[in-house]
Amino acid sequence: MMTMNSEDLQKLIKAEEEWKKSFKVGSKGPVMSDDLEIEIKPIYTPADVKDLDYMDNLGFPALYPFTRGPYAEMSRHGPWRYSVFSGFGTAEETNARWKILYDAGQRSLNLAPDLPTHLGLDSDDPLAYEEVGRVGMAVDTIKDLEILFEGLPLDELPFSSNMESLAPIICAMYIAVAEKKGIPAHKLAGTLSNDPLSTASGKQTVVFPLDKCVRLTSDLIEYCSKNMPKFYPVNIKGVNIREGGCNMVQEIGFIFSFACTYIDECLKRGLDIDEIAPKLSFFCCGGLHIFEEAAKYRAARRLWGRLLKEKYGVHKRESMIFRFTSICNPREFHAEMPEINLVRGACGIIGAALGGSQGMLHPAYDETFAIPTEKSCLLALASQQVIAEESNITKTVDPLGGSYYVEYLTDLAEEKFAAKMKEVADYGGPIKAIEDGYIQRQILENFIKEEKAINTGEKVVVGRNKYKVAQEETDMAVHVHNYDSTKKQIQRTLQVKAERDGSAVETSLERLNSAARSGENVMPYLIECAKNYASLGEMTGALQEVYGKYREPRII
Amino acid sequence: MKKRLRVLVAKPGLDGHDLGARLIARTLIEIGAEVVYTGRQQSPEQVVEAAVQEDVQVIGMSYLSGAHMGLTGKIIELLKEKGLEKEILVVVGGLIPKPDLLQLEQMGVAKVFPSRSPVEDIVGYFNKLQA
Repeated sequence: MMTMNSEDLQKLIKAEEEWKKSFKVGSKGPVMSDDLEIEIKPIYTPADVKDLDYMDNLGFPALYPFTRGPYAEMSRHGPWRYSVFSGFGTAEETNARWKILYDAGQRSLNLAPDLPTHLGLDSDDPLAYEEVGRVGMAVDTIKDLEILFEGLPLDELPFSSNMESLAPIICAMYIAVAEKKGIPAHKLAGTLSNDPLSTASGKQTVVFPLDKCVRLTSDLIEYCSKNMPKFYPVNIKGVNIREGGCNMVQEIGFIFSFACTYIDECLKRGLDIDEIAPKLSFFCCGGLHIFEEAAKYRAARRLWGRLLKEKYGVHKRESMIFRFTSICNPREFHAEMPEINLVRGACGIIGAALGGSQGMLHPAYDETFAIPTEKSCLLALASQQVIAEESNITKTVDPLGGSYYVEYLTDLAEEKFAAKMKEVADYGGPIKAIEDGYIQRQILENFIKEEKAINTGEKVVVGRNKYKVAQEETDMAVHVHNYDSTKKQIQRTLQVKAERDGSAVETSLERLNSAARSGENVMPYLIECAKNYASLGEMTGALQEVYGKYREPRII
Repeated sequence: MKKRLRVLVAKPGLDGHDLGARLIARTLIEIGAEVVYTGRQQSPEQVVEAAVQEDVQVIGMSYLSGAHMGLTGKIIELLKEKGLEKEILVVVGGLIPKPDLLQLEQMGVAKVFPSRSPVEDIVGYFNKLQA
């Protein structure tokens, strides 16, 4: 289909030249794409994809190299997984919000922990006081999760959380709650972030030194591959770095490098690549550029498939699949005329849908500035539902396949992603690149470039730097922090700590500590601690005694 | 000749989103100030100690998680304890809701730049300080 004989090709190229001359095409200067750092041509023709071989480069969905999609019929008969982010304040408040979203059709539970929880501090820690329940929910002991899951069918709803370097602890607490309710671990489904490398590159809530973090990440991967077939123990997060300022090439290049680091650690332990590869999932972050984003996902699927097959020699088809959830970059949302973010969000959803996203966690239009309200959460969910179920966008698989432009972008993107991976490997791998600040510096440079482009008006932001309208200052609903909730949370944790079996806690924490020392997988010990109501802070402390603390490079 | 302004850019609290802080640090370096960045997740005590050690005239801090009132109050209190509240200016930036703006100024913050403040305003303010 894409192949032409050379005579026809020459004719075509000549015709294009003539067309350009007669219409002075290109005389107004180049049009650039920051995403892939290229110039976008005025038109793409078969000449731009002359080397494309249909079966080698595209093939069929569900078949190698997966350019057109990981599943045969994709979302033709059912929408992708919808979700919105939710979690704030106390367990009771989050539980109430979850029940509303459940009734509105959300079939997954997403927990956003607060900052102390991310950093392994209990709510009663003096350093935590100002941040308890502020950007998410406080989780101190499994008591909080017991309240959180009250009245919700744990064995039916997949659970996910953006918990990063302490994901193994949250997972242990989740397993402990389920087992106490009589639900065995193998029935549990869900996803945890558990990607300390992207966290260290982006928003920086990393607790242990990076090599130890990678150990822990692999402990969870290993545990799940043996005990939790329905659970995805690692969700490698482009969102952490794209939200943090990087572009598309850096996003995919870096996260694939991180993914290889986790795989390599697991292989070192003697795990079978075909056992762990199907357990890896990704969480990507897209901008508003519909075609570039669609090409990104197509290219990433193909590159991942090739990498797993050629570099790691996997045997199973499922091992080659690049599974991802996507989010529209909240950095694209602006405070001026905030409602217009709904339209920006729609562009993001369309790009991701055309790229074959199998799940979307869509930001609420006010998420960049405030904790989303109930209404803005429901609008985020409904935005996805309208596009998935009313627009016919899902009715055929990979509708952009065969577009000269998109195929050209897809090839180019794959090449650039692979080059970025090589750059990181040549530097000495992700751990060294992050410890030296090499990756963070690149992300910062790109962020500064993008901010400057907004300030100069080079990048249009309607309502902010173009088409500004005088309007009443919008009174953004800011979540009023409730110190009473903080006090209640601290009270609860103190009470749990007072009432639990203190010697059982002590013994299980000692066992955890010695398991970490001996290099054993710590997951079973974490679960035991959690069941005894040991707190997140105590478990983190027991591990930190062995692992030490992370020191970040300060990059300005 | 302009005297070099020394600024401590700080990220108090537990939040790790420091792009804004680093963007400002970079901007201040570009206009000739000497900038020290604390890194993330700093306690009020650490911030004040760094300000004293680095002998800065300004502490500029960035908040995005909403913890600005309590933490800024604590930092100003610590400065007062050391009798430095007049020598060291406190400037706050980030996601600061309107009602908190006035309160911060009453608390002793010299200037608040809520998110989306034009860079020129920030540059102008600091240029005046080093004039």
